[in-house]
Amino acid sequence: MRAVLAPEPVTDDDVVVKARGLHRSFPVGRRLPGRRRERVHAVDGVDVTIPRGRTVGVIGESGSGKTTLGRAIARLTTVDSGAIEIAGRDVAKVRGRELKQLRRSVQVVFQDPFSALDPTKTIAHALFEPILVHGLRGGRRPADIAAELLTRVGLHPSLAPRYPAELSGGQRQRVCIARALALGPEILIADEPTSALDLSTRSEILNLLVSLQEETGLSILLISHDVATIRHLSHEVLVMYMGRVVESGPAAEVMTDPRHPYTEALLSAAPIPDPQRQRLRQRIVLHGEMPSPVHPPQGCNFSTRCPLVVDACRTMDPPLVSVAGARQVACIRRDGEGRHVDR
Amino acid sequence: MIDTAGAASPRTDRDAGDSALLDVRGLSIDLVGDEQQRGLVEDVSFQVGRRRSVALIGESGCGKSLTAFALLGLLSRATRVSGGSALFEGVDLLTAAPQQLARIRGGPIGAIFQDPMTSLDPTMKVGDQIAESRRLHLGESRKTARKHAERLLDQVGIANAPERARSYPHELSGGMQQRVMIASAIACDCKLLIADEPTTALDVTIQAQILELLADLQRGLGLAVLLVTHDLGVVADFCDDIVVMYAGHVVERNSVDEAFARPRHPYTKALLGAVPEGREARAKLPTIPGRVPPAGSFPEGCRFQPRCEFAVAACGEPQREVEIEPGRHTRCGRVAHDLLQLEARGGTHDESSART
Repeated sequence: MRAVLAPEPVTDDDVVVKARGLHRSFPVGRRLPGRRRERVHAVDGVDVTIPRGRTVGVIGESGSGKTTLGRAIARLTTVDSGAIEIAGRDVAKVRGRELKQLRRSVQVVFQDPFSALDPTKTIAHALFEPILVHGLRGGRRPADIAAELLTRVGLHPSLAPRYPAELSGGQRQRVCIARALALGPEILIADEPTSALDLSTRSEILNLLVSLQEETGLSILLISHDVATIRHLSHEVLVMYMGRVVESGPAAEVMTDPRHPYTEALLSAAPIPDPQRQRLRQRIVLHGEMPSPVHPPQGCNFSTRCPLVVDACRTMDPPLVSVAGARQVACIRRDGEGRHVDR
Repeated sequence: MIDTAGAASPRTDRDAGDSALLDVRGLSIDLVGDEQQRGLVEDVSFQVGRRRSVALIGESGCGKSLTAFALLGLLSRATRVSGGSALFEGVDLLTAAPQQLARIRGGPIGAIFQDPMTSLDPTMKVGDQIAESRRLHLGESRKTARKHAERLLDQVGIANAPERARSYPHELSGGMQQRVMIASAIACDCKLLIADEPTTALDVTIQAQILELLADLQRGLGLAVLLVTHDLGVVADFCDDIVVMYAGHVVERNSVDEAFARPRHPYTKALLGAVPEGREARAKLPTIPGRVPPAGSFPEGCRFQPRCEFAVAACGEPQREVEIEPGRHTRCGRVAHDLLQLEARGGTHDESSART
């Protein structure tokens, strides 16, 4: 494990998710006799801490491992090594009733609200099913439960008898959020919750997530490639590149004053909707693409595209180290504050 | 490489009208067949000047892609152009014979789409796909066309072009595939590139590369670009002029700078307001209530009226597109008659000050 532990939050009571040294790899290519299959390290030594009532944003491009990280925390996939504690329980060890309990406390909202809802079942059914499965009905009428959940996400209760096809993308995403809330989770894992939505709908979902969190003290792991979404919702941010966290810290700092050259490039590549300012911005255009995760480069994963690369970067694997308060950066080309050393 | 993003294109407000490369006037598209509907797209007019980049923007279901497809003669059988003209170098694209259109498409008008994998032929080497278009359009020999294909691949920034030309599409990443699409779109003296959400499927660092490439080609080849997008960041970054569509109507035409600073239609203002950039983190974002009405249930008068925060009774009357100043058109009667002045969102654009 290469990551240095983040400064621990005040007490463990305030921490809902604590994951340490997560590794998850997948075999790739064909199975051939006498040859070991190659593996891609989707998550390669990642620590995550989600404080109660906060949003931790995970940003990175496709292939950075952010979705696998979310799935591992929701126990939708196993990990090769590392430990995940949710509200003090070791996720890997729980079985039976305890696992069911755990499933209640971690709920997921996926990117595509079109495929996340069964087209043959009504909205009321989608909302009532988890409650039935977990035996939480408590004598309430399904219609009442559906109405209450729909109201919580700002939808009209009259939508309950409708089918997903009759709803817009934004309405469907609200239904998915309502379904996730049905079981009263402590953690919501939102994997690209706004990416399939139109501009105006995106802001509705962002508003909804903020207000739900403020009302219920929900903790959110927000996975997104969208700089604006991450910046708007997150308290803390992890920037991932090729399965590793390259930078982390308070969102307000990381998203405005990035210290890792990858974060810098990522933020500068996302154009801002203001022509005057966009024209004055310095854009760092990275050359090339993410290298094959099956054969990662020697040394720093980012060394093949990094504008600040020096020879040492190609031999030394930079550890994630603490700099300036709560921030961490994995780059050898920085000083104690995490700022870049000039060439 | 560090580059100033905005050096990309000139952004003067000169009127593109007379010398326009593409002049669309009154384009209307109907849905035909069992569920026929009139006015899926209605009375759409705009110009694309030489070397200009024009954004066609709006939510999904507003008719942006339909408009682009109509210009390319690629509408499905379920839809039909019911009126208007689209003059490109003296030819009306909407009434041109299929053979004539086939000569223009892939020749002076190139097109790229959101998902390059569905546009490229998976069974054909990418070099051959580009060469094919030169052989068809310019009658080049197989050998010459292949040489040109390699040069084009090099031009769109694909390293090791002669070798890459022998790759199949699935061997390339999404960003490379989109470069190949661009190479084949500009293969035969392209003058106008119609790009339908060309970067939506790409990662943001790859999007930056593709936008950079398009800007380079625009400068180098004098291309005009019609960019269909829903990303206001991309518009701000890349485009000179903007055409805002809502529910099949053009509601505003303007220069990008003006539209972002002082929108001339409440819908443009609403779209600009809905972006989280420049807002304080976790602050409540303005939204646009309701949704784009499906074709067939468009309201009378202004189609945006049911969702418009400024709507008054008069908005139920039919609204005409009015040129309020040279190059600035609005379909809002209240704006046109100076009864309503819109501001993007009073001074909230400054991110740095909003965050400290």
